Amino acid sequence: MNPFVRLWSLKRITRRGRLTSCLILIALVLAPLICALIFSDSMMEGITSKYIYLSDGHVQINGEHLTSISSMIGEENEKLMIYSADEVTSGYALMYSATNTSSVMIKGVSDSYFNELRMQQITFERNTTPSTSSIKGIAISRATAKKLEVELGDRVALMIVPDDVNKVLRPVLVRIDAIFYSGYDQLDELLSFIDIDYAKELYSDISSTTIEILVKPDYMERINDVIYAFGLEHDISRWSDHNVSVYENFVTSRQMIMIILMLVVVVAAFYTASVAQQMVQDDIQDIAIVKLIGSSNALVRKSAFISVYTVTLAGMILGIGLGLLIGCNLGPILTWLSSLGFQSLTFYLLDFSITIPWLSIAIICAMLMVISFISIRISLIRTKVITPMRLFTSL
Amino acid sequence: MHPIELISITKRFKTSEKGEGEITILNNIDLQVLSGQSTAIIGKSGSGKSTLLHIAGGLDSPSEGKVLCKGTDFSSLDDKHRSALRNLHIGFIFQANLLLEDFTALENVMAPALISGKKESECKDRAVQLLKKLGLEDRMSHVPGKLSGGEKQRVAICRALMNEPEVILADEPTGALDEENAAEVEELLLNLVKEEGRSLLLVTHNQDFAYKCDNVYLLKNHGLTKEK
Repeated sequence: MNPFVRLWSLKRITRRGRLTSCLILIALVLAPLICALIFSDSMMEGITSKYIYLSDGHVQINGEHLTSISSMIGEENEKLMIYSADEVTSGYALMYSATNTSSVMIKGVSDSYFNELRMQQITFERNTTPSTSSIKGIAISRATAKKLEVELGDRVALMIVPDDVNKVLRPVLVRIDAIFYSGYDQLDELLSFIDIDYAKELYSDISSTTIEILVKPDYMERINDVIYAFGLEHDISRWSDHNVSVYENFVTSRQMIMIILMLVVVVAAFYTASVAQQMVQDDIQDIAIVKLIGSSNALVRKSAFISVYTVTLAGMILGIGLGLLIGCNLGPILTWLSSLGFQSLTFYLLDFSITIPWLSIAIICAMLMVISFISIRISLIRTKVITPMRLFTSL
Repeated sequence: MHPIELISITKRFKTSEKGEGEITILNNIDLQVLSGQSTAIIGKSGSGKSTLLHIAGGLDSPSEGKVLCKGTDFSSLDDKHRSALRNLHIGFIFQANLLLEDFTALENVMAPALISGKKESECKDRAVQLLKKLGLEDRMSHVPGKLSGGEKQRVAICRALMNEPEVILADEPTGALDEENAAEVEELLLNLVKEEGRSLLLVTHNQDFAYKCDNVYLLKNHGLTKEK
């Protein structure tokens, strides 16, 4: 690099003023964007995990194939990287307490259902008083318990919605043996767990029974292998098939967030061009002097470009650093905000592990770099019209 | 080959934006700036002295005629080569010192050398030497805002000499200085011609200063007349 270009660029960068505010502004624009990306990605992934581990599994196989699949799973387990395969019987019911009603999905599961992976997603508060009656136990969510105004040990009535329309509705009484909390009220409100044998009594239709398969955490991308290995593509479904609206909302939200972030980045990139233009305007006298003492227009443009682009990159790095710092501490921040009583946070999952969307961050950075590169260069074309004669016409 | 040679230079300015009328400032002027000699151009205000100097330095272009710098026609060069020619062969000194406000005195002096691609380590010694020679050794790290008018003009002279140009073009270099400083700058410039064998093209109102030069021309009625 030409020594004068380096010196002049450095002088401009270290001069407090427009370039400093450009750096701060880019950092302040990027930091919340990165933070928003981390928040949305982490939360979506967290919610997805809740649905997968507590509601639908990675893959569900129709109960009609129960016998053949059950025998296969044992053999194929290692090869397919299957973590667990659990028989589940489910159906819908209306739950009545003395004061309120709630519509819930009843999941009949065995004791082994709540394995290590699932227990990472849920906490149980159990009734330690042994039952003295033949009334079956149920686990309901904290959200449902709150809605129905019931506690551990209380009894609630279930109005089973039959799987066969010809059957009559019949109420059954169950005792609340456990109250669970997954951290995501929207899902918790719908779920309740009972013993699978009892569930089979309530929902006798074979279609109510499925096998929920969990893939080992490091082999998520091999779900398709699992599906194809069973050769039952039409009778296998994923969590996204069962929760189409949730899944599509995630996809749309993610796309919208990315589009909005990209638009903000485009505006920020064009802002750098306007800073470059303003810098040239402020430096007309210096540019004319430098050309007078023998600098070509190319050197002038190069120096101005390096000044603004360096500041843009520095602002970008600062913004990313700041965004990552805040983003990685979102858990404690959200918990703190929640403790202050922000009601809107109840709609979100507050307990999730942080996922850093490196690809999206890289796309945003690349966009900022490319657009600002082009727009700054274009805005600096006007240095050509600044000639040394400007010094004498303006004096 | 003369450091600068003006051949049949005519300069006209448009009197309105639409270009309906024109006024002739310089008409068919020939001038040779001789090597190792000082040349002064005197004339009334508005006679076109500064315009002639700007054309001689390749800062402005003539309406007709050509300017040769070391035998090369300025108009035949692109921006890069014209700038390089100006950078290496011509030093400018003006009434307003035209220093870079963010640069220290030392950096201002080094600027032409840095522009030409020399590293700081290669040109710092000469810049320091020049500043010392002009009595600015304790002002090297000062920015122009902290210097007096005379000091700024001396920094501008150092900068003009930095690349050891063959010719110095000076437009009223003492115009903004008090008597004492003006006398100092006059002596300095004339000594440069004598001691270092450089050429000086001086434009001034100051008749005393002008007649200390080897050649004196009067710019009158758009033409040059040799007075000395």
